Amino acid sequence: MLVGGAIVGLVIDSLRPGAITGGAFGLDGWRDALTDREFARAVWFTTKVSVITTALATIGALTLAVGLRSRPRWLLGAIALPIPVPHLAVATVAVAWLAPGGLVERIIGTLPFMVIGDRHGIGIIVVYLYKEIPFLTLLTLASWDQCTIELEHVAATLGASRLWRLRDVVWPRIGSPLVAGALVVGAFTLGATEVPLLVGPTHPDTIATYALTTVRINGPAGRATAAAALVTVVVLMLVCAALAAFVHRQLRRRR
Amino acid sequence: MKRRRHTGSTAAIALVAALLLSAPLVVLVVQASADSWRAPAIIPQRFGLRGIRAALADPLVPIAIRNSLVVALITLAVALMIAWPAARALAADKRRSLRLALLAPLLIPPLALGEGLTPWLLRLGLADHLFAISLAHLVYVLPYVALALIPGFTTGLVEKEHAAASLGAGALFRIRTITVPGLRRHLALACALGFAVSWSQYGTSVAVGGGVPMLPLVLVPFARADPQIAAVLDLVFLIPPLALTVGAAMLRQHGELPNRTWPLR
Repeated sequence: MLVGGAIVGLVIDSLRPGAITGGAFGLDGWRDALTDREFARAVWFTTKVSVITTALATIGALTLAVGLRSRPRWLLGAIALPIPVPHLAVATVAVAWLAPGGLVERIIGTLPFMVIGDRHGIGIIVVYLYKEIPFLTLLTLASWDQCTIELEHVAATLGASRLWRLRDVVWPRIGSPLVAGALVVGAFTLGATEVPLLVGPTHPDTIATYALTTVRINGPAGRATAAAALVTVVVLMLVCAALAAFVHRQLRRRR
Repeated sequence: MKRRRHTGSTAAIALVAALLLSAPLVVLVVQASADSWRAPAIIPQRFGLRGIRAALADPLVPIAIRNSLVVALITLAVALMIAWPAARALAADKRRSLRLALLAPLLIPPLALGEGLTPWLLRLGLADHLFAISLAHLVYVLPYVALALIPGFTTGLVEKEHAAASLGAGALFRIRTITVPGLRRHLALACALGFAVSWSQYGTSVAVGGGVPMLPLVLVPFARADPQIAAVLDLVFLIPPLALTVGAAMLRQHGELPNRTWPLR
């Protein structure tokens, strides 16, 4: 009920400039957002960061899972360490390590590229990779169970190559949670607020920081534009969720 | 011999992984106690308690900690009241899709949810109120609390309750002697998870709370202005998640918690 109410409230807010003060319905908020070059840049930047983060996190998780699949449980505990740490705490730690004059530069000298505040979002990507690679690794390993390992052994005995085993034995079992998890990570990165605020560039914005900035600069008059921007993120997330559900169903059918 | 080599390599990997993943966080302890830490020094020039004193002297910090505590406790109480019957019903239903649907609200960006709820809360006269922030946090806390409670109801607990009822035990007696003792581990996990999720909410708090000081909102400006105070607040911020990690590890070690990945976000 709260989620439904929030989405309806957001859509109404985007269609009724001054919804709080009782203004008339109109498309001004959407027009302002869609004609604003900063919003277009924010959508592109957010999507780019989200896609890169998701791809790198998935590849990293799969690589780690391959290396850790028959390791003891307590080792997984060490890998799981960053999962409960809030994103905000990780972002402040990233500033301490990776900002100009931070610990990394004090130890190894000047970094060849900027991480914190980089206009390509490297800082945001680094923070999310630290959090999401362990998350996706554990999600993958939960499905890469003893039964899958035994199936791998059987396939190996029958002469299957390593690549063939990964494609036809392991992937049908781990693919579903890994893809679903990856899309959840992607959707989550799309809506991030605090991480881009702390380690992201001042320009371009992410969609969420664009919404915050619009309200801060324009006050209540900017609420409709901010709401339109946030509706866009919700739509992008719903697309991600639908995609995750579709892939999940396909892989389950194959399994 | 081969087994010993395998154990050795595993321990080495574990050590490297634990070091790589925990080292970045350890810097918070050093930074919180570094009264002077100017570049290019790798070790602080002077240690002290300036960060703690300055954090406590800031009028917003104690209020923010108190508000975050109150909001997390209210959210947790409401979440438990709703999640308890929901978990009971979901435990009896074996459809995985229903449990996955529980996680769907987590996909909505917190800022979008908060901004969407604000007009309604303003009309109800609740905006900028701690209860309003709790309502917004509830969306993210409820799924975790319910998911933590579900396994407790699938371990024969309901059958034991039915057996006690057929022997004439009253409802209160059943709850006190069967339900709560049978669920206590899951209840502890649900409380820890729910508290940690509410405690670390930023987007919903900034959207719904307006000017109400909350710990994550107070922390952000310090991250740029005074890293030492930010590190002190970060350590306070990390207490519930760390308690959750340690508690879950202990329960798992005693075999009282299944090995599963909690999608804590």
